[in-house]
Amino acid sequence: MADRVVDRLADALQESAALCAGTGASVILDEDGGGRDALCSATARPTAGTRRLPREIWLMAFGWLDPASVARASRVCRLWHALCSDQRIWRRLCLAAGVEERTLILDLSIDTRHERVDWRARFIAFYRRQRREISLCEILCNLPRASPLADMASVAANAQPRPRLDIGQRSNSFGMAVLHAASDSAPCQQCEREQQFWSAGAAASAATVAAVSSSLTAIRLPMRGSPASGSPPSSLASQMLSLRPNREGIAASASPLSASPLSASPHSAVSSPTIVRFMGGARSQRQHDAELFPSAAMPSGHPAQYGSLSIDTDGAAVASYLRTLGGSAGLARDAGGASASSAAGTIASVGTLPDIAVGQMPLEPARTTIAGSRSSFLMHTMQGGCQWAPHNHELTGSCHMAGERLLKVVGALRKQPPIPEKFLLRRVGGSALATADMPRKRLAREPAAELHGNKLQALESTTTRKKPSKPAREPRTKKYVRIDLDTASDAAGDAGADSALEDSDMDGDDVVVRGRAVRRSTRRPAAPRSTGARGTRKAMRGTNSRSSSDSSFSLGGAEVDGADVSVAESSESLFEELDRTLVQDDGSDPILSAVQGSANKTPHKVHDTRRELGSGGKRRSAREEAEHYGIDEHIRRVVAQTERAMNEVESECKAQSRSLLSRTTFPCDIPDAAALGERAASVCAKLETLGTFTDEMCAEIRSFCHALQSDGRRTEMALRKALVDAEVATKNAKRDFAAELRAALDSSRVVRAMAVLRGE
Amino acid sequence: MVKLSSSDGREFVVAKEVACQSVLIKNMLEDLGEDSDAPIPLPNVSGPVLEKVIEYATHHKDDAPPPPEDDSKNITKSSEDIEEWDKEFINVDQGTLFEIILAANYLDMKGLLDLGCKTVANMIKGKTVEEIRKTFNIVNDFTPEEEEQIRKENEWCEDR
Repeated sequence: MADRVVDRLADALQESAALCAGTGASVILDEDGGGRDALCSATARPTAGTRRLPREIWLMAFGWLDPASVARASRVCRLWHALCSDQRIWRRLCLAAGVEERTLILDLSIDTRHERVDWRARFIAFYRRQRREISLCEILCNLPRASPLADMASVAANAQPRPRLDIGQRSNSFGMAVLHAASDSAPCQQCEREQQFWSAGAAASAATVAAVSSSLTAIRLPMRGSPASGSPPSSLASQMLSLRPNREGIAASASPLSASPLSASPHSAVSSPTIVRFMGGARSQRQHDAELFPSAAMPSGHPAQYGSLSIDTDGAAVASYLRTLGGSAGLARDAGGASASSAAGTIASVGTLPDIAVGQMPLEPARTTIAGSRSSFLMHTMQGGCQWAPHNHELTGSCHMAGERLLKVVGALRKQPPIPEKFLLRRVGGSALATADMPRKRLAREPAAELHGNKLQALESTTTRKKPSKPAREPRTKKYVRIDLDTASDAAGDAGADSALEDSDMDGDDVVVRGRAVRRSTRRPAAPRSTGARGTRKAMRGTNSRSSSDSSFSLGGAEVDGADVSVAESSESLFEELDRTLVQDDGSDPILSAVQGSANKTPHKVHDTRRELGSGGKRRSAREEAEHYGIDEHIRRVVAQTERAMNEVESECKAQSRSLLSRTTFPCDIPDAAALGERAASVCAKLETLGTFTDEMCAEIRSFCHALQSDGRRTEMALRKALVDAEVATKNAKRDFAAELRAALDSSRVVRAMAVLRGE
Repeated sequence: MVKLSSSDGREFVVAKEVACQSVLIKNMLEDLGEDSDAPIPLPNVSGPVLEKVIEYATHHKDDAPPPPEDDSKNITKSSEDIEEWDKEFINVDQGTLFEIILAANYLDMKGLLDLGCKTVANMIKGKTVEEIRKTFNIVNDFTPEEEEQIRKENEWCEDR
């Protein structure tokens, strides 16, 4: 019995000895030779403390290592190097990493399954590829890597249009400019195409849209952590363009296009006085309704007075409008090199802008959109400040330079101090603040009635010109009208709208949200805020009744605020200064009192209504719209009225001044008249500068918003196409991606990316 | 009960289920029948090591039998995945560790062998090449040219 046991043990030992002997001396790490003898002998016991393990056991141990450790272990010594080259180790690592045993080749005719596999090489290739892709992804978009398709989708969802600047286009009367642009310009080709696309695709493939949008939602929701509605959107465009302002007035929304630039901008945490509201909806007709509420602070002496503005922008209107406003940079679509080069030109000239009026440009470095286009991927590099199609590579260089200059300007602007809390409007729901300097009462009422008669609901801006005959003596009073756009409000009748407006017109206190700007010598205590809510709400409920009945109104809004915070801020300080001046001198200076009195007779008010194309109605071109509604006529009338009122005011001022002068005996007791005059002059000059400033800002915001909108449309189209072309796109994705990247990135990024691609 | 005799002549009496943790002994006992009370000689295992092995086997005698070998299941396990008791158990000097591994290999105790291998792997992990050499007392037998070539060969995994 015992013999059998011994024999058996001896056999086992012989087996292991043969195993070890087969591997030769290299098995033994310390080559004293005694170990092998011990193993080969059935009776000898291993030498205690020897550091030796057979090859198989080392292999087993290496089997527990991670790839990097295996790679390092292979550098220890020759034996380990040989061991670490063992295919079993690498096969295990491959399986653990999910590397397919079969090469992933879409062409099924090629199947390498039966070839001998070099697992190490395969793993290293996999590892490198993964690193490369991760690196590229991180470099480009700070995105975690999932799969190529998911990458594309998420990158596209992250696409950020960059704002475009309008320079040299100071639209003194913005409303006129817009209307002229809308009526005078022919639709561009791209717009025509899009129009066809939308009209044709309206009925087509609702399922496709839902799929795209839901996948978009699925992709971007976790990324944004936004409270967006998870419900499949009825209209993709509205989903993509919608911004739902929350209570803080921060634009947190489902919109990848508009949310990210806003949330990225430093001032977005606070609400700004200016809200640019955007509506884009893919309804049965594509309807863009952009409402711009330009910035608040309009200085006196500046001819441009902005009212609230509502533009019905179908594609043509947007295009021509943007063309008018600032070159076609914002619209440099994939229409060809021509538009791209003009974009580059615009950008290059933008780079020479002085350090003003750039406002906030949420430039995100190298946001890249890759959206599946018809045959390839259209990429928009935002950093370079241009959108380009694959054939416009040569432009990226100059765009990059311009972009850098822009970044400098932005950096300078962002150093501006934050806005004091007290100047921020609290907003509730989708409220918009419109500020305008418009003559009150008659000016506001009559046009409204007329426009209403023509079913033109949205009105716009009347311009008022105040000749700076006595600029220093006419501090402009300002009205901030808070407009509640709460779409939940009941649909009031149109008549209700007008009457409500009249209410608010006549009772000025009701529309005061900011008492700051309103100074009345007779009613020194600022208008009560508490009473403002009712009247304002009432007024605006009427105003918005039409719009609110259309659900897409609220959905389709993209509010861009914070864009001209800096202007508002500096205006605030100026006005405060002005106010202080007035307070100090109040009562002590008869002339000033008189001036104030006369100034108070030129209050300005906002008349804001919304214009909306009848949804479901027949689609008209912008020119037709303009003609149909007689917009030019209205504008002319409004301007005429404005001027009339202005003249009245002026003459009244003159009369008062004259009477004052006649009553004043000289030498009168005005010790600091000269100083006062100087101060007033300087304030006036500042206000003038501000006017310029604000003009540029407004133009900028407008163009930015339109860029947002057009980008949204483009992205939406591209994604639709991408879904359809997904299979083809996947095949080409990588190649195109790499090519696009190489061309798109600026030099340093290219260098980095190339380093990654080389595997360094 | 089963009697085990180590290479240095010490005898250990262990319960049968403890001894049968070793596939080698289990098969032997099945072949020989259970009536034998002669000690089973284990000439490759020294007394102290056998003592450790028995300690391990005693602690793990109630463990579920190891699942059948399956490569694909093993790939996701981590070498860090060691029970607390095992960690304490295997916390020995390197010579003893290697002997335990050799004994586990010889006695065909998969759990113990895996434990040893994991421990060795953990000694390798996270170390530089030079530290590994130092840990295992390995002489660098590469020529400088070879070393450079191998370094290049493996730099794909190094962090940049």
